[in-house]
Amino acid sequence: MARRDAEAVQFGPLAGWIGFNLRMAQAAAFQAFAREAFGVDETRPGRFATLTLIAENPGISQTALSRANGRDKSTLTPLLNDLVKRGLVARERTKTDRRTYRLTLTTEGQAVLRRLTESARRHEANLDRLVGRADRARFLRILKRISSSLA
Amino acid sequence: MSQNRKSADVDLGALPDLIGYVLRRAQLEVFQDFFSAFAPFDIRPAQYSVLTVIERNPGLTQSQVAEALGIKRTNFVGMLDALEARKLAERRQTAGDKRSYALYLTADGTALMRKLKPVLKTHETRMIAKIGEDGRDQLIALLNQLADDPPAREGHNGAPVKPSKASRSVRPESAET
Repeated sequence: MARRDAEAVQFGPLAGWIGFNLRMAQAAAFQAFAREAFGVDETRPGRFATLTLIAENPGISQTALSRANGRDKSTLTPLLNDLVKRGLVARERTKTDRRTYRLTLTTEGQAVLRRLTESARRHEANLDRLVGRADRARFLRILKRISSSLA
Repeated sequence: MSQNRKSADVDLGALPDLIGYVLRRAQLEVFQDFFSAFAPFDIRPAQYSVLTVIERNPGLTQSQVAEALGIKRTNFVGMLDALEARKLAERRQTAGDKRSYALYLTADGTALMRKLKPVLKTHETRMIAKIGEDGRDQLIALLNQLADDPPAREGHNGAPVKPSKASRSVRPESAET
């Protein structure tokens, strides 16, 4: 739980709260991913997932993307604006519906995603080591039962 | 990867096989439930954590609480300002060190925590319903293996003990949401 140098601190009911433990582990994993991906542009894991989803589903709409990623529009829009500004994602209006945008990766976006995917692979290998190969499947199963849309 | 075709035919590629991604999705979902349950009290998860640690450890300094929860110092000051403005927690100057503050709950803070306990319990019961008591125990053990990783413990929120170039340049999303 948390940090050993803070061992004297009593966490009380937090120690058994699923949300708190998820958050601490997730923050540690993000930090490790950021270190692993250092030197690659756009190291935030949220961006990695967004770029991956657009690459896997070229032309996807913003609504479908936010649903698939479990993010609401208010957090996705600034993220996309930033990716567009950096020239990694292209946003075009669809011919049939002027209010809908199609999202695709630019060539630069594809190159960044390739580098990030390499970092993610190394990062996952580290997480596997911590969780233990044998426990990996069990871990994913429990997490997916919590996240109903992934189950 | 047809088994990964979820959410209205969107292909999630390899993401559902990545621990980091699935962990994030689970955390967002649990927090979403927390937000709805605690909205009437205007308390966010990080605030609840801070109030709990202060309640359990009255008199700890700001940096001790921030460090225990992996919250960056600069962000922690703002969080405390907000809790203090709402008269839920208070800073008291420690004798002998003018720059160091000890943290305590106010009477209002203690009363609020008493009210929040059953709210957390109900929220937690809903989460346990998804994975079972046994699943919860297994999950927490596995999560601790990740959170206790020595290099990762440098700073859960980009606040390493010894700032390195890498950790200053790249910032994971704030843990204070």
